[in-house]
Amino acid sequence: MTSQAKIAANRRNAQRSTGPRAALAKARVRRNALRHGLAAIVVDDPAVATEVRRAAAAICDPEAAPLDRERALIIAEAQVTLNRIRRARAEIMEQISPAPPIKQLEGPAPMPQVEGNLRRLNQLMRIERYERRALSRRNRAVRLLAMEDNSLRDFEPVDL
Amino acid sequence: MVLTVLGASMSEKSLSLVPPVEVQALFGDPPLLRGEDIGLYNELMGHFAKLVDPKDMIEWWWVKDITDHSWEIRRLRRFKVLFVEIGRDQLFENTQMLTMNAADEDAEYVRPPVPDSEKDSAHLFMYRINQYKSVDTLIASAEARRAKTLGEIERRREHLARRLRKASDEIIDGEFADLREAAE
Repeated sequence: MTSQAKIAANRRNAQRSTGPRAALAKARVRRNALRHGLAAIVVDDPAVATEVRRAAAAICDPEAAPLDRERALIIAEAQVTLNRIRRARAEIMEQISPAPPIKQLEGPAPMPQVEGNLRRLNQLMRIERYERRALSRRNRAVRLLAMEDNSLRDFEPVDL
Repeated sequence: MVLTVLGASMSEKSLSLVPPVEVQALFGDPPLLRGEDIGLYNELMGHFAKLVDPKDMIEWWWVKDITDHSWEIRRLRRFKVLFVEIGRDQLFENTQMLTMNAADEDAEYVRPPVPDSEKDSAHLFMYRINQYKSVDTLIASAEARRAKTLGEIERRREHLARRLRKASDEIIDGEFADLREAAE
């Protein structure tokens, strides 16, 4: 059982260290858990927000009903996310390349290293779910928007 | 009608449809790797666009989806072959380097053969089996995404999706060089 002295010491120690205090250190650690930013809400970035608005304007008439404009924004945001994911995927794939030959002066001829490529392939598999999520979001909004169209009044949305 | 209609430039006899400038601006840079042929990518997109004849921005995004997914599936299939080829090249270079050192020390040293037999390929394949599995998973995922997009098109334009699926299958299963023939 932990003694009272030990508990008090732990509490004192915990109060001494509660993370970085300087602004620069705080700015540095706030990105610690960030890997690729694909899960972030894209419209938080002003440049991306402009891209989303531009894409939404191409989907939907500015005079359309507010609900339609909102759906167009969802479609546009999902599409901008998809573009980012595909660029990120290409960047990772760019790194899957032949490693330089292993310089070894004695022993049997070594087999090529594969660990780096495996790690990148795992990264590619991890970003798959972001693309699936964005595609589902976009397709669902497209189906709802299509329901507003007279020519597709009998259209039944199907959840995938 | 809610959707904004976008036009595209196309000549009567053209086999592909060029996306309008405003559509291209929304597509952004194509997700290509260094050394991949942007002309071929655009040609592929033009071929799908000709089949779809997109009427609005959403349909243009479907065209881009089908293009990107087909391109990615082809690329990953090539990666699988290249993994063994690259492994063979590296093994050969390493063997050469080691035998040069051994030959310097022993005049009677016999150089090992170049690893180009089927057995060598099988050996390298076994060594890279985990990479193969990962690439297969990625291919399956890209194929599922492609099927999902075709499903969306099918809901809106049934006959078109069937033609588009056939064209995409032909392009994925054929060689890149056959793209122009596939479009004809």
